[in-house]
Order: sequence, then structure tokens, then C-alpha cells
Amino acid sequence: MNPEIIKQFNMSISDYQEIERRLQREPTIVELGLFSAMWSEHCSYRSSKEYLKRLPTHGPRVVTGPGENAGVISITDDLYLSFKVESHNHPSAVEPFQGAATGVGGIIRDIFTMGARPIASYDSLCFDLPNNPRARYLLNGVVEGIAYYGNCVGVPTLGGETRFDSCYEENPLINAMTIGLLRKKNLRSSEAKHTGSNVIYIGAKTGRDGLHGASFASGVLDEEAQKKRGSVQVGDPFLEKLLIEATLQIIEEDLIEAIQDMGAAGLTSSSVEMAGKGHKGMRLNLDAVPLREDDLTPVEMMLSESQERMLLISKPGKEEKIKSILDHWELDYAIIGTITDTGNMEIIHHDKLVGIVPIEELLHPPVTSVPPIQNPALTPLPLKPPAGILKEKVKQFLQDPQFGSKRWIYEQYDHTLLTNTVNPPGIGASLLRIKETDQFLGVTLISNGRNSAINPYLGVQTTIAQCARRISALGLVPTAITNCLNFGDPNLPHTQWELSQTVEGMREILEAMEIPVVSGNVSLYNEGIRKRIYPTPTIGMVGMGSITHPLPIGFPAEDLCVAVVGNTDPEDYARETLPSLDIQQEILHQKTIRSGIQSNLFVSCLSIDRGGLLRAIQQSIIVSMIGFEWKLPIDTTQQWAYLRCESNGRYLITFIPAKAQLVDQLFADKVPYTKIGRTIQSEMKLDRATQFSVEKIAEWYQHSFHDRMDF
Amino acid sequence: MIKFGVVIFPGSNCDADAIYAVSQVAKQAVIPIWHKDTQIPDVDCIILPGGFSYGDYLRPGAVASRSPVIQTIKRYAVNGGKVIGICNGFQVLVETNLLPGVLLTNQSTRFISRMVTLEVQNNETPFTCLFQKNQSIRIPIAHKDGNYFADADSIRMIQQNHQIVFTYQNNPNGSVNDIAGICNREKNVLGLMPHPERACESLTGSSDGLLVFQSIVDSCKETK
Repeated sequence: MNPEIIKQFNMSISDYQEIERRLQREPTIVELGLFSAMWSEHCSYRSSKEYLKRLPTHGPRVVTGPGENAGVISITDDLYLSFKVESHNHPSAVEPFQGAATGVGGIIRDIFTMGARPIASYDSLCFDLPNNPRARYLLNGVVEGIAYYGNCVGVPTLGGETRFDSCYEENPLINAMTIGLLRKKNLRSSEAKHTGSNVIYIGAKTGRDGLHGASFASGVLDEEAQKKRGSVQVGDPFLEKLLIEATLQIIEEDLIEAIQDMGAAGLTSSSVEMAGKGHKGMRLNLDAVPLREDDLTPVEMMLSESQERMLLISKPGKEEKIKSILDHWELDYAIIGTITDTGNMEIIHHDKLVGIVPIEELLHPPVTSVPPIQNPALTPLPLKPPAGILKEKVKQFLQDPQFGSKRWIYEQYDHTLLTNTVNPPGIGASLLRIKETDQFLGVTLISNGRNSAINPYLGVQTTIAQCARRISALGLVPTAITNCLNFGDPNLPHTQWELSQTVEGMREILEAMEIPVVSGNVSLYNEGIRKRIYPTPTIGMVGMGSITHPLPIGFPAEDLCVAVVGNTDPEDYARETLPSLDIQQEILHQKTIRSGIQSNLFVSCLSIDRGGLLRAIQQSIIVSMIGFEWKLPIDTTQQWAYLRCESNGRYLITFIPAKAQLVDQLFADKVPYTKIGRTIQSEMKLDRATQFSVEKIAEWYQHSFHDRMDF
Repeated sequence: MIKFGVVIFPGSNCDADAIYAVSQVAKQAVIPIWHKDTQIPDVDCIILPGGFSYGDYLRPGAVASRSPVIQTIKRYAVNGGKVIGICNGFQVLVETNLLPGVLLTNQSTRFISRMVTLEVQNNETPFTCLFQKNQSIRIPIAHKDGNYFADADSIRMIQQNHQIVFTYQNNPNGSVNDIAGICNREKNVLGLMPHPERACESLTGSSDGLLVFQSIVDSCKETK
């Protein structure tokens, strides 16, 4: 075949030769299209699959682990939770609004495909520093895109994180997570089960948007990529809202055998995966596919990533019932194929067979192994600590947009819809109630690329420990995670080293904490022309449990004792390595904190992570405008490091003085804890010279980031 | 027990919240009404919920105001039936001319989701009879097009007729005279941008909105 054509499909010559070898002939254009999509990194995970196998995926609550559209865990015998995180980095880098919007649409589809009603979304956003106008342009577009899609589709966005680092200049990260609730009987899979069943297409019509999206996401972001704006899909949240209602009704009425959304590589990956999972074949009649423009070629139909489309396999005789539901919601419906027992994917267009490929070949790309080798030159240099006296340093921190309120972002997201939101976005993990049960959900989605660049093994462990602390600070038990591994070019040995270290680090801590991975996504080739991103594993953790009354966020009143649980090591500040992490101690602290909350010993509890104790105090102050007075005798030269270090295993708690003895007993000598001061009326007093009014702290907090974005 | 009807347009997304608030919290009966229905069931009050009816295509509320069900609701309202439009429902009511004025895009041009403090300006309506006059209440907003506007003459009219029901304490969207909610002259149709159905339980931030639904229940019992 003409090498130019092969290149158009973003396929290597060696992969092409492998196709010819396997087929024992030259592939047709349609077949080449199928291979290019299915063998792309985006669909096949060919560079990461071996690593991912090492992660723990089982546990008493796991119903569906990785491999389906999303993971599922049990809350009660009858009530399940489905969740997953996914990246939409490449599309958002070239077209931030639609890139982010369709990222949200895609992850929401993954959740209702499982039979679950989506109840909340979260976003992890990594960008260059906001003083870069392009970073602001991208962030503005991404936030508007998330807001546009999420608000209209009717799924509240309840939180996430925003990180700024120059490594994300050319390649920002947009990871979106959605959670959904389902009844046990409504759990669905994508596995084709019976030969002869009909394959039904529902949702939006197919157009030319998003062509080659999967292979586009499987290359680095160079100038050519910027021209590929046409590879970015266009989302319609209104249509997706109708699709959610129609799909959930079809599932509720038990009309289908299997279901899959058309995400990356559209019709190709959905049909191949459904048939492949059941070790079946499929015959697709492209003449039946609903089209937006009627001159689409077969390969365009197979590779289009038009949004808001689903593929169903109906139960025999239920087709009319399905059609009537789609008519009610005014959505397209077409029987486009049947399940066969040949193990082949057969594509028919204008009554002619235009492609026939064994599905097994599509699902198993050749594995090219690159040895993992560390390149120490890629380790970032330690950050320079600020100069000046304590007051100057603290002031600088309190005015830092990194640590300022992200209300400019989350106030654009509907976060009260569905009336499950107990804690509004902003501080700590998100807390939701589950209606008609005594159960609560805690959700957090965070990353720390810089830590992972310094030490990928310990970096991801620290992120997971932070998630578990945030969940525990709500009084809930960390239950399961989803993860998105955002890395650079997998052909570099250093990337392979980062990946293997990250997965090993995850494995160790997750096994120790008995937290399984139930879903995830890998995003590679996150590189621009000049910069590669830090290896950035994003962790979405879900916790659950019953709590009698949720603790307030922040300092709720004056005259409370304020204490730090866990050991603060000022030496951890500005070290070249990461703070150490004692996993067993971390687990013990979580359990003790939860038992303190259960016994009603604390008035408030906040985990300490990014930004250290100072950030925890800052956030605790602004919630109810209650001040804090430092009482702990400490060497003044050490105080800044004490306030800013990110030692693990720590929480900021408050309790009434009358309960001091009970709190002492709770921690006894197994968990170190230090009383650092008390809550007071209207000031933060750290030493004689370092005093700020609560109003000033709040003003800086509310404006430092906000005013940079709204100009 | 009184009966509420909740209208569902394609793209409505606060319908489930309204149904939950009325049935599970206020403990009243609820009947869903589909946008294509031309007959409406016998109900004591109709709720037009929030969301993005017909995807907000053309203009928020514009397409919904031409839907089959709305023609019937117009007759229901003209005959004195109680109608409450929340957020997108408010937009539908102004597009339908059941309420005066228009809802422009927020002054910031951005979507705003936030807990706000309202002041009850008129507690002599069926929707607010259980509030104190000038009572401060906390109810969340979540909208992009909630900037209420009417010309000076119209504003004078609605002031004279005591049609301003709720005002914002810190105007979030640029609404003229801080208007958050208004009713018609006859006081049987209310439109408001804030979401009382999201403020019915203190666990989720505020229970001040519940009084709106309880006021409706009270006033229905009185008229029965």
C-alpha cells in the first residue's frame, strides 16, 4: 500500500507490515482504519498494559474491576457505585472549550453505560502558571467547556483540583471523573452474548468530527497537532441528557444484552470491543448508520468520533420497545448489524463487503518493549524557599494564587444540583449524602506531578495517602480508586521507568491499605516541542460509611483547642527528596481519626497535605471567619518550616477544652499529636510580629486567583 | 395532602429535585407532566423546574414557551391556578408573558453557582405566606441568564403592585433593583432564579426553601 496513506493513518511501517503478515494480504482502506484505531496507544494500552496488570483490582466491595466502561463497587447489597476518571488532554490543548466539554460528556457516558445514573463529576486541571496569558486562555476555555457541558447535561461538578507548573505549558492536563449510582439489577456489561442478536445504534447522527481522534491522542503535541483542530469532537450536552434518560429507561426495562458507548475511535472500538469480549463476531451494515452528511466514506463512518452515540445489543424481540423509548426522547435509532459466531468483524457498505478482519488480531497489537531506564537529568530541581522574616513569608503565601480560592472555577459549575452536596467545593474531599440511606460518599481527585518527577514511586504513594487522609477526615473509610496516568512519550526509556515505578508504588500502598483499583485510563505522549510534563498520576478515591452528623469544615467557633495529629518534621521542608511515608503509621492515623470522629470527640477535622499546616490553618480560618492563635513554643527559625512542610500522616483537628482528656486518651502513645494553639475571634497570630486580621486573610484568599482570571 | 404537577421538558434537569423536595421533604403528592401533554391533571400547583429546556436553543425558555403543555398552563394560570417557575422555569414564564420583563445574561457573562442571601419583599403571596416580611433567607442560585430586566415604567408598575417577591442582598448577576423573584399582579404566578427545591434540608446547606413549598400547601388548604 502507498506509504503516504499509511502515514495518514498515523501508523508505523512496522505495524503496517505486521498487519500484512497477519492477514497474509494487503488490507483494504477500511481494514487499515480499523487497525490504526485499535492498535493506537489510546485504545490498546499497548505500552502500559503489562504494568497495569500488577495493580490490585480485587476486594470485598468490587463488583466490576478494570476492563469495562467503568468500575463498580457495592455500597449496600442492592446499591452500587460506578466511577472512573479519564483524560482529555490532547483535544483540550488545541481546542480548550470543546476538548474539555467532550471530555466531560465522554466520562459521563462511561458511567450511564454501566446502568448507573451519574450524580457528580470532578476535574483535575494542570496548567502553566496563570501569569502566562496562553495558560489563562486555555484554563478559561476548559472551565467554560466543563461548565457548559456539565451544567446542561444535569450532572453537578463538585470539585477537583487545579495545579500550576510550567511543565504543563504546551500540554495541559484535563482529567475528568464521574460517579454514578445504580441498582444491582441494572448493572450492564459490554459483552456480546448471543449469536444472531441485533446491534442497535442510538443517539446522535454520525458526522466527520473527531476523525482520527484516537490516533491524534497517541502522538506528541507538535505544530502539526495544533492544526488538527478538526480532530476535536463537538459536544451537545442537551442530546446527552436525552441519551441518559433513554438509556437508563432501556436498561430499567431490561431490553438489552449489552451496551457500549462510542468514545475514542467511535464505531470501531465499540463494535470490536463488544464482540471481542464475548468471543463473537459482528457484521455491520454501514448503509444503516444515521448520517449527518450522506457522503461519508466507510472508513470515515468507522472512525468518526461524533459524540453522544451508543451501541446496544438488544434482547430478542425487544427492538420495538427500544424504538418506542427512543421515539419518546426523539433520538435516532437504527439496527446496524448482527452478532455472528465467526470471530470476524465484517463491514458491509453499499451491499459490498469492504472489510473482514479477525477481531482477535485487532485486539492484540504487537507489543514493542522499551526498557525502563532512569535519566537522572530529568529530575526537577528543588524549589527555592522564600526569603525574609516569618511575617513576609506568610504574607506571600496567603497572597499566592496557587493557594487562593478557586471559586472563579467552581462557581461556574453547578454544584448544588441533585441535592446531594453536603460540603460545597473548595476545601478537603467532597462529601455527598445518598438519599434514602444512612450512607455518605467522600470523593477526592488529586495529583502531584512534581512529587512524581522527584520520585515516581513515593510520589504516587504520597498522593494516595493524601486522598485516604482527606476521606478519613470526613469520618469515612477509603474504599476504592480510579486513576489516570498522564505520562510522556512511551518510546523513551525514562517514561517507561516512570511508569513502572509509579505502578509499583501504587501496588505497594494499595495492597497495604486494601484499596483496589476498579477503573482507569492511561494518557501517553503528553509532550510538546520543548517540554515534557512531569509524570502525573491522578488519583480519584471514593470512600463511604455512615456518619451521624458531618463535621463542619474549618474552625466553627472561638475558644477551641487546635492540634496537629501526626508527626511534623520541619526537616521535610525544602528537602531535595520527598517527605518519608510510613504506610502502616498512615493507616493507624486514619483509623484513629475515624474513631475520634465516630466518638464525637472533634469539632472539626481537616487533613494536612499540599501547602502544609499553613494552608490547613488558612482554609480553616476563612470558612467561618474565626481566628487562630499559635501557642506552641518553637524555635523561631524553625517555625516557617514547621508551617510549610508537607510531612505525611497529619490532620488539623479542633476540640472543646472539656474533651482534652478524652482526646489525649484516643491518641495515647500510638499516634503523636501536638496542641498548637486555639481558635480566637478575628486574627491569626503566629508570633508577636506575625499577625493578620481574618478579613485580610479572607480578602487575599478570595482574590489572589480570582482577580487574575477575571480581568 | 395537596397535589403538585412538575412539568418535564426535554432538557429539564431539576425536575427530579423538585419532585424529591415536594414528595420526600414536604410530603405532598406529585404528578409529572410531559411537555407534549395538552391536558393537565387536576393539581393545586404547577412547578416549571430548572434546567435547559430544549437545550436553551434560540434563547433560554423560548422554545419551551411554544410547547404544547404551555398553552394549557397559560389557561390554567389565567384561571387563577398557582404556577411557580424556578430558574429555567422563570425564563419560560417571562417568554410566555405570564410574567413581565426579561432575563438577560449575567453581568459577568459567566454561569454563577453560589449560595445567596435573599430578602422576602412580599409575604402576602401564596408562595411566601409563611415567611416574615424582610426575612433573610439562604437559597442557592445556579444560572447564566438570571439578570432580570424590565424598563422603568414596568418596574414602577410591578413595584406599585407589590410584585417583587424576593431580592438579592448582594446582587450576583446585575438584576435591576436586585430582583431575584417576581409574581404577576394576581399573585398566583411566581418566577424566581434561586432554587428553593435545593434548600429544603439543612444537611445540604439550608432549609429556607422548604417554606416556599409549605406556604403553597398552606394557601391551598385555605382556599379549599
